[in-house]
Amino acid sequence: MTALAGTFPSDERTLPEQGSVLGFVDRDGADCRLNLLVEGAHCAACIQAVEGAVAAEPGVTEARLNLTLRRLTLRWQGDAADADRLAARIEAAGYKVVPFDPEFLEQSDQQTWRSLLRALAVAGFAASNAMMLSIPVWVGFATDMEEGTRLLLQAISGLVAVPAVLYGGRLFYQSAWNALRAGRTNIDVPITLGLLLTLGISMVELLRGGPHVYFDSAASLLFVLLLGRVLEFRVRARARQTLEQFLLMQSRGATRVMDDGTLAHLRAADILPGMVLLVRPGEQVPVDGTILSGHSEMDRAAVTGEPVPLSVAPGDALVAGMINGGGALHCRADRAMADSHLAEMARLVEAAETRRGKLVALADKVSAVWTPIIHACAAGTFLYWLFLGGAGFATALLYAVAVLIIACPCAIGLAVPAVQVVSRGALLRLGILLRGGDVLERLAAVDRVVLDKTGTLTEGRPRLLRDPSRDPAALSLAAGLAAHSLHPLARALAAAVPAGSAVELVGDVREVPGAGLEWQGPQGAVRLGSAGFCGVASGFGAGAMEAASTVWLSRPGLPPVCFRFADTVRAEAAGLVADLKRAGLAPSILSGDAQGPVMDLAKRLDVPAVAAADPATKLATLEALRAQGAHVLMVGDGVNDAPALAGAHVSASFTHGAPVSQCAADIVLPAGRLTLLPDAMRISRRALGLMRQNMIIAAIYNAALVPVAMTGHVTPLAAAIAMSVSSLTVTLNALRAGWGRWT
Amino acid sequence: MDVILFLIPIALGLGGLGLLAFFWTLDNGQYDDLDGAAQRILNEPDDKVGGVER
Repeated sequence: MTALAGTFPSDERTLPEQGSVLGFVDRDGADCRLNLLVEGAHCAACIQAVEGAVAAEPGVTEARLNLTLRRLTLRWQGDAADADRLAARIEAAGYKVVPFDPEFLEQSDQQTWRSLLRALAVAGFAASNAMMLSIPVWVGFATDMEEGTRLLLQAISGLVAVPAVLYGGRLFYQSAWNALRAGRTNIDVPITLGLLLTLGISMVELLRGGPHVYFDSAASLLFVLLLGRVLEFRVRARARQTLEQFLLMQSRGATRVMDDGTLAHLRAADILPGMVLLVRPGEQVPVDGTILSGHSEMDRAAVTGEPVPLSVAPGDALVAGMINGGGALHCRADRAMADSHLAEMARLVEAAETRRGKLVALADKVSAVWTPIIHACAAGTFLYWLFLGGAGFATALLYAVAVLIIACPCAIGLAVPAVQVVSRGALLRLGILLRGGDVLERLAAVDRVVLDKTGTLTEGRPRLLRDPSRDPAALSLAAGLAAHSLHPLARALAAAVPAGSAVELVGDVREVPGAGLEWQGPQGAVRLGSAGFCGVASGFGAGAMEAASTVWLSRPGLPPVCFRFADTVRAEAAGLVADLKRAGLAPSILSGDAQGPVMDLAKRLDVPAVAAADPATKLATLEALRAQGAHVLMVGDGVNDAPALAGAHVSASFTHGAPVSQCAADIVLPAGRLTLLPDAMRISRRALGLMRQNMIIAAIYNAALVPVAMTGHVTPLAAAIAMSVSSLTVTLNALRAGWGRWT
Repeated sequence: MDVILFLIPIALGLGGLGLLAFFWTLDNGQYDDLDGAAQRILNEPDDKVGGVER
């Protein structure tokens, strides 16, 4: 450990925990700007803490945290080098920050949101004013309004509606065009056709002086459709943050040991294979590597999800993302950061998410059936009136367009988002967060459930197993020693002492990294630790319970005592598994843990299991199930589950889980509340049922009114009424999703 | 009925003003962080939090 005494190029206190952020400062004269992702900000107090940490610093002109996106914008006058000091201040307040390039992380969501709201406002303005102008016209038909006045009112409503619909509907036109060009059709194709044809025929009719002018219908149709899109956007506001979370997990800086023994800071991204790095206690391993010297215990929770640290020695492999829990290590970098384990996992997640993005939403499925039928009806109407009905070309076209207007899937556009918003509210009251609009549809389709073990079915913490034959004095002595260590097994041991019983307090305990604790007692050395450290021959007393981790206590003149630990199964696990089995969802376990503990749990819960699966294997297992036609719900909470969570048909994580897993999952459940899962599935099935009902309601309106339109008897008034009544019915029906008690 | 020649432009003009006001709030970023806005009312107003631009 002599190499630890080195020189650092800068004063460490001004450097944020994970290295310099200087490379991300955007500079314009004396005006500097930095964008940071902030981890762990949730509430008003967080806003105050984060902004307050830097707002009072000299030169800072702006420090604003966007709580929705968890991003902080910093602006200050002065030196770009202040960036590190400011970032360190925020980290000192307890929030981890990572700089990002706004060009690199898409800000397009923000832009889409703004343009949606803009379009909605324009459509709302046009719809209300066109309607205001239409009502006198409808009344005018009954009270013999002069033709000149009527045409004036219709012309003004056209002046308002035409530009508004052309502008506000761009979103739909663009999407329809993209779909058509790719040889597909989606819900936006009939919407676009309906909107544009309505505008066109209304203008022709206005010029002819006829009564069939539908400007108000076009504008209100657009308004309702946009409302549906805005609701949908709000529902999936926090999607796409998984990659940002991986960015937060990667270390930014590393310490390199130069050939002459001095230390140098470098960015983690600049590490080249072959460099020698120093990983101090508490630091994260920046890249995959091999240990050259030093012994330690590595916290693998972020990488494999296993709660018990791994003892490492020279020659052992290190994986990026492990945290050094023991002594300082020298290691050789084997891979660059971009090829390391964490980056690999981020890529798996990204690929899985892209693949899932290709699932077809319910509304698009319906429109694939709907569109050809309606267009056939419209074409039939046109041909009938042109050749058989004896109407002129313009009249035949007018009747055909009336069919399209009546059949325009306005109710469909609203049907699904309205149910989504209401159901999401019902779930939120239970503490369940949905991340994505179509999650309900996917959750309702689930026919298999795959569960992670550690942290999901179990508590993810080792606990001392009871052993009646054990000497109480041994436990008391062991707990006294264990109180001196932060090792998870030591903490579990210290916590296992029954309340009120005495713990033998000892002083001067020495911790040997990767081995155990030693205390020089009056009779000689007392040791607590691994079998080897305590001088117990391997295999002694073992075999009884392979599933458990063990710690030994050796005392002078007495036989060694064994303490066994196991990850305790959550009280709710058995109930959940029974529930799932009853629902015919064939639960199974898919874990990255070793064979022994996984099979032990699988036997207790009586479910099939796959053990020792790395992230890629987990993903492949799910893919295989998908290939068999199963719709899998994956439940997991670790970083190693992230690719599987992103790749499953639908997935769930917990608020106690790794942030990455919460972002990769579609559903986030409150910590440890396994039993909420069946509730969420019930709500989702009900939601899907309501969505289908809404589609049927919309179809009934069409079935009733399309024939009327085909005979040419639909007036603009009838169209307006049909549209508002169907939209209203569908919305009211959606409210039922929030009824009932879900506990 | 001549009165509608005044009424309609006035109605449209007022509505248009409202629309422009909405655009201004939108471009001002007032809808960018609805969650944060809901939480910020809980903070003390006299802090320098949020920078001098407030």
